[in-house]
Amino acid sequence: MLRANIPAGQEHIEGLGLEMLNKPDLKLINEITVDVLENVGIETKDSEALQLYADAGCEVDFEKCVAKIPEYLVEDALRSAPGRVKLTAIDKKKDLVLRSGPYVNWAPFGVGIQFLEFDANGKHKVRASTEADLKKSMAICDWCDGFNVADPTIAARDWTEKGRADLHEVQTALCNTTKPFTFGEPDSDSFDDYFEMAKIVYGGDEELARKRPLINVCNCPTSPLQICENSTQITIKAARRMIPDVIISMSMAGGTGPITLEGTLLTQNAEVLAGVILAQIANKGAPVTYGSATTIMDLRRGIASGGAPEMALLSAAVAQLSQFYGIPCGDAAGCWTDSKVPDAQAGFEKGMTGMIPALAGANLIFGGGLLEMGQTISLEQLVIDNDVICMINSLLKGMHVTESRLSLDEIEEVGIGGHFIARASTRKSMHEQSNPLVFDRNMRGSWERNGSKDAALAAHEKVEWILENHNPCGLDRDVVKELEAFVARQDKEFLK
Amino acid sequence: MAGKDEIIEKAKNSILDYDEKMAEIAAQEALKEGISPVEVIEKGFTAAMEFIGEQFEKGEIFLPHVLAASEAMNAGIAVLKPEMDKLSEESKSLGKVVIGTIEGDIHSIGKDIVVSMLGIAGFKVIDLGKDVAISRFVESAQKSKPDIVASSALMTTTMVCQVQLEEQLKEAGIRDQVKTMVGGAPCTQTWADQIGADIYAENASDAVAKLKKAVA
Repeated sequence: MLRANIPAGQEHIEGLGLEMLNKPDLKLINEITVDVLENVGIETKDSEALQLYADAGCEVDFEKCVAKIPEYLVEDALRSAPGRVKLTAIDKKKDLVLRSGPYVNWAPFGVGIQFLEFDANGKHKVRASTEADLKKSMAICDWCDGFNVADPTIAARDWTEKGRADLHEVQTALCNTTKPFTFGEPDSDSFDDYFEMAKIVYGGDEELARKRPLINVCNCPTSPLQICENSTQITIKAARRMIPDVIISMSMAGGTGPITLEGTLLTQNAEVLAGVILAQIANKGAPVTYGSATTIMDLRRGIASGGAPEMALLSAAVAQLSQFYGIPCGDAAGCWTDSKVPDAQAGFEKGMTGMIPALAGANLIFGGGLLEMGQTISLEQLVIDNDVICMINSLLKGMHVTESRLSLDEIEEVGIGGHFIARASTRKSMHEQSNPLVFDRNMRGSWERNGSKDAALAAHEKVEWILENHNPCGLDRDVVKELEAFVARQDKEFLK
Repeated sequence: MAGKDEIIEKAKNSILDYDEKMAEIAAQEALKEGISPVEVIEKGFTAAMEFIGEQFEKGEIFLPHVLAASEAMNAGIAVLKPEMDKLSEESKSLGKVVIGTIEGDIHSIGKDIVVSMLGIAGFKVIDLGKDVAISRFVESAQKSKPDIVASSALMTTTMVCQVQLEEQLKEAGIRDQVKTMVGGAPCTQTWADQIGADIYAENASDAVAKLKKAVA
């Protein structure tokens, strides 16, 4: 067969992307990070972690509790840390493989401490979050297609000092979603309990509970350059049990990091790498991922800002750093806001902070449902954010310029005037169009006849529908009962 | 050597210029000239801090300026302290506050800002640092007899220790001699009410305002 104009290797980017930092930038960031790790070091009071660092070749001052980490350990750790990390789910088909590279997924925010009780007149009430609130949140995240994982969004504060709040939260998660989830920040003494609960889900199968841990974890260093004992223990224990651990730095430029974004990116990079290295020292090949909720400390207001454009830039930089290092970006802050209510500020800030790290290819962007910089969760905001996320996913498609998609034959057939609505090609692909569930696109007449609802009210109705109609539980009744009994027993132990 | 007025002026300006070195020099010169340390602090450093406080309230300067001023003042006071201890002198203060980040928690920036702002406002602040064992809060309160015992917690897992602090102050028999204050991201007025803490402060400015009322 005679073929002409065969394309040779060509450079092309598929979809819509953002490359803020180039290779020399990333290289320099890494070099100066190594300088910080080698000369300033990381502090932790955990003697086991210090010993691990020392045994691996770090210069450790056991009195000052500081480990100075040599360059070769950074390189070794990045080499052995896997480029693909699987977050296992109760429904195997929903397992999420986080793959280093520009592949985007979305998560709700975890963990807030307050719940927004929606009021149709806008007089929303905010109060301490409860187990019952968490259950509802799980159902919403499980139902919304925008979320690839269903992280518990709030703490069960009704169990504070009354029982094992953490186990109530884990049990609520296991019983109300079949998507993967990350539990944050667990008690490092409780890994055995989490293992027992995974075993119950698997009908006692220890092997399966080990291979498919279900309860993924995270931990946060304390900027600048400190890791508390609970955090180092989470990293070590998760590594040894091969449980995915995302290390999330929450540095604040101008506060716990230098005033420049680049400088704070540096310190947070050192903090996260210190955690990655610890995981690899504890167990080579352990699934550990790069996380960030780093932003600015707004120095006029004395607060950390969740809706700031600076946070978007930092999350994008983190996405690129992860790709440079070849490990997944397991949590990049995005779709955040400082707004206390679901309003225009929330809309824009979430759009902006979601879009930028998505374009940069962050593997898991977390923030759905968040209000007030992470203090408060709103079910309505979860549903609104689902629309935001799905729209950003549409953006990521970009345009794919091929002869076929340029549709010359369609154009020639329809000709001048006329329309394309009834074409077979149109029918075939119309479902690919963006389709928000609560953002309203109808003409005013339709909108008015439907009650003149704004996005928040429409979202509230959706919330009520989901809670009424969606059963997110993927476990048999007797498994649920066994989990509840296990938690009740641990509550009794706690109260002794 | 400069005269007393000049030295006190230098002390004042060192704060307004956020200059730690100048504050130390002014303090050293004051000691050399035999000027009372308390006079240097009250007429020099504290006078400047009042102006800084006013500027901050007006929104003309911000946290970075206030904290830098506070660091300059602390540098100057550190030079004067040995002499003050020798003379058993204490500069006037609005009240005494014992503060720290609660046991198990190493987050300190919020607490550090509160410490600086309280210092500027004229409180004497004993900063116990971070990851402060509850027993250490109690010991410090027993020893220094503060007006306020304040704790900061950033995590839901560590804020529960604020409950234990209330209990241990009661057990030590000194709970009624102090007012307790709680702060930190997960803390709310509801939390304070729940655990019996006297004051909840949302941020450093709130802490200053509420403690001024509490010691009035």
